[in-house]
Amino acid sequence: MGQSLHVRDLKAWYGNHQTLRGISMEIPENRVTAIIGPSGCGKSTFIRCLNRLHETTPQGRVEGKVQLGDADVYEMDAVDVRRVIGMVFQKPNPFPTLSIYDNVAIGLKLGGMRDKSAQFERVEQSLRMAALWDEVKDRLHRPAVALSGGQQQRLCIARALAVQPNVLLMDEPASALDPISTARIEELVLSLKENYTIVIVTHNMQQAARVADKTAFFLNGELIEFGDTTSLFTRPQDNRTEDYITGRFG
Amino acid sequence: MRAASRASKTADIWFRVVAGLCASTPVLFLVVIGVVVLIDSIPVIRYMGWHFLTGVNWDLGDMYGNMVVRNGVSAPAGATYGALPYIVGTLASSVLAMLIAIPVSVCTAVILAYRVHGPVKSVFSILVELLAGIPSVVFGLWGMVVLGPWIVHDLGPAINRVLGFIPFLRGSAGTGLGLLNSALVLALMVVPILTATTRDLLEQVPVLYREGGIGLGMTDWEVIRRICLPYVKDGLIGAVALGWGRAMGETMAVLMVGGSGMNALPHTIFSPISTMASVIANQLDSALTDATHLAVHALAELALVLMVLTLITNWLARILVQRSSKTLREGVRA
Ligand SMILES: Nc1ncnc2c1ncn2[C@@H]1O[C@H](COP(=O)(O)OP(=O)(O)OP(=O)(O)O)[C@@H](O)[C@H]1O
Ligand SMILES: [Mg+2]
Repeated sequence: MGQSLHVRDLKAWYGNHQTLRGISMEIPENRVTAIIGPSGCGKSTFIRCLNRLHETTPQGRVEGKVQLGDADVYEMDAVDVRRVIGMVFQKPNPFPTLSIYDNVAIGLKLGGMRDKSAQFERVEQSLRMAALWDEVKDRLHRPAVALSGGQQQRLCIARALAVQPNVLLMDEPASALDPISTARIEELVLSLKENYTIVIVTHNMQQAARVADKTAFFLNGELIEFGDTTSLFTRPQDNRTEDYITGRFG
Repeated sequence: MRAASRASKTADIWFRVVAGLCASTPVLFLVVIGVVVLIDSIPVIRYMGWHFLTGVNWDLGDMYGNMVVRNGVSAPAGATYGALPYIVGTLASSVLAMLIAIPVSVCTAVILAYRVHGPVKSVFSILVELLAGIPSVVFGLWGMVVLGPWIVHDLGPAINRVLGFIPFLRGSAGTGLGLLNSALVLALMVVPILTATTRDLLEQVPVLYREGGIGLGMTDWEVIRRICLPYVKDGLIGAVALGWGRAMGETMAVLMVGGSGMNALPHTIFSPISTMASVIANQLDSALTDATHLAVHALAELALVLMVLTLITNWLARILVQRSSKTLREGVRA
């Protein structure tokens, strides 16, 4: 089941360069929340703070509070946080030395699932959810790098789903893909929201409009506007949001 | 389009000739050295046969007494050249050294590549590279003066106490010079190169893959074990093979800390040993006094065996590397 995320006054730095200037927002459970905004405004930094990935970059520093349900993410063990908040990256990054099967199974193995048949079942289920099973079921033990870019990205989604997180963070998951693969990923996002809380970063406003229940507009490390997707796109409250969605800048 | 001028064509021909010559020098050297050493070994190969590889005694014979003739080769009476203790000494000390050096180097490299940044990282890296520049005779001296007594008083008794149930690890530490000391000194000499290479390899692992692992909830160790090390495996095998070759060929340091074991196989980790390289250096002087020259030929065969062993390890490493990259390629094609 999905869980909600409460973000309070989140600030982030790279060295001395502040990239998030106090973000507060409530990300509802079992909904798709889109983050839009011009390049460099801090969208990636924001979602990387949600699963505590930002602090692993050299010089990365975070202040503020993130709550997952009732638990304070920054008081939990960072490794545990990332097991309940999964992530899909902008560029497909299946582990290059592992097979398709092992890419999905590795999270299960490391999580302590020893039983082979249970493992296989979960791998199949994850690959089906990621709409990849039919394409790879005959070559599960081939290296993952042999897949096309779109397939690799769906494999990464399956990999993230296999460990059954509550939240799925997606950083422009379709930006490197062709329109058909993009459409499949979007379908996938819509089908997943029953069971997951999804936060998706996107440059593509049509995409946000198609998949997201709520949309947040970021600018220069600040949250300018956050609301229901339809109202944000049809009746933006802030001039800067309006300028951005009508294409006057960004 | 401009037609290539005569001058540029000639220059190109010259370039090809020179480049071809340069490219073939390593092969040429290898062949020439190999042939010279082989020819030099022939008398001993005829005199000793396979017993050179299986014999335990190395005796230059009575150089001032009678000569004996065997298989058409004349030798001082009682001369016998059994290189097994040196072959074993070389392999045992270098393998043990690698067993110590590999984990130490990998851990250090992980820290240098991922854990420290900025000035700390540069200082550490420079220190590691300085270590690589220390002449082996200094390592040997350190092994005699510092490591030897430490093995006698602390390390030896500790190993006996903790691991003494394994026969090979039980025994008197003697003078502190021997297999263990050699292995430690060799390890110390290999660690800097291995660390520097491994660090460079680890830094080439795309951060994208590491973040993929971190984002999946892997611990630092799991990311290194499951993602980074497999990614750099080929390079690592190559580096280990190079380091191993170096450890097998190292002469001076082992001569100083090996305890000059002769005519016996090492039966514990503390036994005195000699390696092929150290015997060559050590024995050349007395071998030259042999009027039949057979002793020198015996040292040449020792050099031949050392070369062959080094080549075999390199070749094995290459096969390993090829096999793993082949499976990857085949997968990509399918
Ligand atoms: N590793 C880094 N080191 C230093 N500064 C960085 C680093 N990564 C990002 N930044 C800076 O942080 C700011 C926010 O970057 P971020 O990647 O969050 O933007 P973004 O909104 O995701 O942009 P894009 O749409 O191009 O992906 C930018 O000004 C960027 O220059
Ligand atoms: Mg980004």
